[in-house]
Amino acid sequence: MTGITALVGRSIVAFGLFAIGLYIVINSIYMCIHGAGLFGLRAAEQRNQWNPPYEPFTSPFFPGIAVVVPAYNEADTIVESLRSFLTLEYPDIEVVVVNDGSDDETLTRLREVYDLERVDADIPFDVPCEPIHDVYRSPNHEDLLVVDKDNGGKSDALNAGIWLTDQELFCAVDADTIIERSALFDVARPFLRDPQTAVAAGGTIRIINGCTVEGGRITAMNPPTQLLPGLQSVEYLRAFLLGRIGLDRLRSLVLISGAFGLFRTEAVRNIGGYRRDTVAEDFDVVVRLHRHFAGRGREFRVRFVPNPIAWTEGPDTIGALGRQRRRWYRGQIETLVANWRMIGNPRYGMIGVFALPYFLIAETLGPLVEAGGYVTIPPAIVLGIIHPEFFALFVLLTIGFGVLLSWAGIFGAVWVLRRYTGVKPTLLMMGYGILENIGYRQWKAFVAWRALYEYAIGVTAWGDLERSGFGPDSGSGGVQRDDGAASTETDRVGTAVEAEKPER
Amino acid sequence: MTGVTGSRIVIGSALLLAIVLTGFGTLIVGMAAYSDRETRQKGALKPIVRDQLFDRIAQPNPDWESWASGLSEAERTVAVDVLDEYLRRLEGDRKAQFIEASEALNIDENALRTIRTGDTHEKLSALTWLVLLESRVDVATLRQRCSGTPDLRAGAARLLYESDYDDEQMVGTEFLLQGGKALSVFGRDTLYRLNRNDPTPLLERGSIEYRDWSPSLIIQILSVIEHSFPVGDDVPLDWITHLLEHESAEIRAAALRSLRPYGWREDVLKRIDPDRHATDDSPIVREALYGTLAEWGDPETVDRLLEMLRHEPNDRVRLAAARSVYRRTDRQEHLVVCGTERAWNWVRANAAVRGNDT
Repeated sequence: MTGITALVGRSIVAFGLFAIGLYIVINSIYMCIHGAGLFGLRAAEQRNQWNPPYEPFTSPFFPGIAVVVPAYNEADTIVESLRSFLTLEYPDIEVVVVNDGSDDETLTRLREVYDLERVDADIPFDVPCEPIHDVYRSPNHEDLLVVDKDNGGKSDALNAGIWLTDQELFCAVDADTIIERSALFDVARPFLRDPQTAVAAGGTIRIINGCTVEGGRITAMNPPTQLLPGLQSVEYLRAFLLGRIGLDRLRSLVLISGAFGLFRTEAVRNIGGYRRDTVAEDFDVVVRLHRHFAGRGREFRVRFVPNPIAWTEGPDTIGALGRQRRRWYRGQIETLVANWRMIGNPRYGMIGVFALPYFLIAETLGPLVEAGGYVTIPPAIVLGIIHPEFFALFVLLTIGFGVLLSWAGIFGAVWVLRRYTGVKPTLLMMGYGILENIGYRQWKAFVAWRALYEYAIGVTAWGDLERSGFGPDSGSGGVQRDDGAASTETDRVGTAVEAEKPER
Repeated sequence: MTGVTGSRIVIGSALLLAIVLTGFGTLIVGMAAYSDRETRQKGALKPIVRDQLFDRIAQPNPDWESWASGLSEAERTVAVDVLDEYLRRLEGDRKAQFIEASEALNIDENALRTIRTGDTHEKLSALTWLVLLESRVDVATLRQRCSGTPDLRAGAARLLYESDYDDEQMVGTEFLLQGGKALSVFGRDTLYRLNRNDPTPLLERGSIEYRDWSPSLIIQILSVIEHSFPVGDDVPLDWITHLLEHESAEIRAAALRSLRPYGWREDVLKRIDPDRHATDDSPIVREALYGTLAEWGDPETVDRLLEMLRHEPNDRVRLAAARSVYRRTDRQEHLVVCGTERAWNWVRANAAVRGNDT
């Protein structure tokens, strides 16, 4: 018995040492990324401030943009969303809505509101997606193209859109996303500044819960008052703002949000479009772009631009949020496994030697070890293997450092984004920043284990989503609702999805 | 770690953490309060300042000096923002009045000072103001102070263009092409504005320097030539026809497109072998060829184009060619008999719904 106790004790100590070592490595990486992010904020602010003195609407060299909107059962939100997309400020824009085999009235609503007419001819080239039934155009909105196809998932719908547009660039957005009116101009900046090398650019994603939306535009910006969306709003600022600026500065941007990203159309077509067998198509496509260009020694850039903002609904129930996060985690593993040869490979520059190892160690392994720690340490304290003071110190440092990172995201938002900056909203967000590290973060660590289990047994479904819409009848200002079912994974492939996974 | 020492370390760490977080938190809240106050103040002042501006413009003697001297610091900041907004939108007499208002605020003098003393970002902002105000700055100063980065050179070239400097085209083009690297869209647009009416200097420069330019810059210059007016047959285009043999498909395609305004020049027609380009491995080269032939549009050339389309293997290229023929010629019906029925039907069906171009 003594021998077993000693073995358990040594195992726990070994695990503890491993966890502490990993903790130091991960937090050193976070410090690098967020430190680079803070330095990058100033440069980003200066770049944003310069508005060259010329008239984009008369320049023959402005690249056209197709806004590609995959839509699956979006009848509640599609008209409102489309109204917002059609009023985006940009010289040359086409909005491509892909109805991905919706069961609801999505297509009917579009046909009614926009007087759609069928294009009476077959598509004269192959499109790598599920069968397309019809293509529609609107006589009243020349810039609108609607594609009606069999259900094939978000990637499949995006592929239909990017094959059917002739625009030089395309902006992948979620149907429930509200993009600020000047956001296309801002997110296109890397393509305007370096037109020969820019292949992708992403903007900031923020949580819309708490804001008021009228006529496809946000008329009042407020932080969420509900706890779960509030926690996500701070999480998004930390990961989608400061983290992205840092990764951009370190030439390590490997993830552009599926809710709002701008890509060179030909580049994505050349890599075969979006992969249809993954639930993290946004992560995967950027990694493959890096692989394609870096592998051929081509000069290229993937950039992050902080100022353009896309607002998206955050799940407000623990069930819906859990499903979302499990899917993100599974997608992350899928992408890392599919591109494992790039990990640590200097041929792919910073992506190979820093970004992908970071995702592997910090974002994939980190939460698993963290959850392991929560399970093993309490009995270790009871057994006297670990000193309570040591554990208290460890927890204190972990939470304290986490709060610092969360607040750094809020600092970035106050400095650069300036969407809601009053003292009261800022204090509320800082409160969420504390709570994000007490409870929420620990919960996510256990979610990672369940997601790993799902990955191991081959779960590939997206899970059902229910939209509440943005309009005045939407209840809580446009909040994505859980459908209440315990098991909501479905056979149909969800096209309407949330933003991608934020890094810790 | 003994119990007492451990407790002290924990308490000490907690205190240190509390101090750091309190300091950082105070900074964030302070910035938020300041930023909020600034935003509210600007929001409240903007309509007032804008109304003041338009009221004065409506008067026969706006007396901008007295307007400027009566502004508070906050109002001046807002007035600068409002002027920036309207100077970008307006032309003619109305713009001239806004320029006078700007000069009363000494924006031009400040900008002139900044291009001598500021850092790169300040200089870019200053150049932007000088462009909006159509101010004149001597070339020597621009050369000395504003040639450090491609953006600065583009800003300086734009200033020469907007201020109608005597030798704007030569000097502005020289600024832009200095370094031989790719331009931003702003830089390319400026190069286009400088050369669109008469690209002769650009073409002559190209005949001498094109080997020194990066492939990206060559493509950009060729696209400027494509969009510019054509020039006489004494201007050299042979360097462009040499580029039709370049190893880069993008350059071959750009060279073909740049010759679209020159279908009337015998030397160009002699140097292009459409049949050879129609068998180019790269679809973008073939697409550029078909577009160029459709642009030239004479019956003999279009016949040749239609014949080539019979053998075109790429669906997307066929579609692009069908679009070009639809837009540029009256020979659409012939598309049906040259293997492009599906492409032609698609182009026609789209046009039918949209009621206009494809």
